[in-house]
Amino acid sequence: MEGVTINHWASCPARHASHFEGRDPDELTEDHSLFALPGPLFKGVKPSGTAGSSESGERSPQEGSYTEPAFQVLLDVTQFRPEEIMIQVFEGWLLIKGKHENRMDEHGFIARCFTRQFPLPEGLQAAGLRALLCHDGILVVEAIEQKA
Amino acid sequence: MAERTVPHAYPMSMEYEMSNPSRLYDQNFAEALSPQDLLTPVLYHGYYIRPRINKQLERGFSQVSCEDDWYRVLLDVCQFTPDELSVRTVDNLLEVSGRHSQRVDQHGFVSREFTRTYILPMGVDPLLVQVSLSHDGVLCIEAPRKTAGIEPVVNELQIKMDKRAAKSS
Repeated sequence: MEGVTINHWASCPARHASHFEGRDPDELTEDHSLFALPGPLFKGVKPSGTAGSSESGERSPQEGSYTEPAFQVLLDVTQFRPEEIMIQVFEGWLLIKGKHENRMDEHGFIARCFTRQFPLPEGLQAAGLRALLCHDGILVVEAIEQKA
Repeated sequence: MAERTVPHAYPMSMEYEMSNPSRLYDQNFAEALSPQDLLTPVLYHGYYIRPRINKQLERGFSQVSCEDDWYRVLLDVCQFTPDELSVRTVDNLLEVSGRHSQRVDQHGFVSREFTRTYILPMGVDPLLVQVSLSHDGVLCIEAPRKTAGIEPVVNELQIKMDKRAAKSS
């Protein structure tokens, strides 16, 4: 057993640093799972050491194998908390709603509310979609199926 | 802001780290993005974040400046047209609200609504507040401020002696 080491937060390694090392960061810009917060459908990125072994049911992308999904929507939701965002599918439309009540910020109080609608491609159902919320404030809703 | 669990995406100024910045960024909301709007990830406080191309320092800000003889608020409301905005004062609160119904932009349909409340400082008369909107969508709210004649109201209280024990309920 090794002793417990407590590091100051500033010296903690960057999140998923192993994925970024030795690769062109430009390539990883669209790899949203590297930025995603863990959620009910998304368990996190597996360590890059095991990236070679393909496990069934794992969705994390393999090295350099990022493929464009059939449908993808990116939305900037920096000002909202995860529980304030609602995603619905209604009659071929994807609805993304965000609402927060009056909250304090540095200049006083602010309340915001928005609704965005995107047309879904023909035949795409709610079950064929997944959503990731990235810690840099970007909400990604995309089709699980990849572009043919 | 103590409840924030997600690190803030935009370390755009050192002032942002302070408790009372005169300028807030990132006030434009519900912007849809294209994949090419995302720039190369940069490291910020142990997290890689992706700057966005549509974010500019001079857009989506809220700025409060308060001097001895005037008070001014600049708020970027470029997502709203003049008839979708309203500004009012309630006692010493200054409420700016905007609401637009569903409209089309390059990514789809969107509707937005916000209410921002500023607290007018001492010496600003809510009835003298004036608002103007510049052609590039920056709301300028100004009011004269009078701090010279303001004296603190001091009322020295007498302490009465009570012989009984303190009532607990």
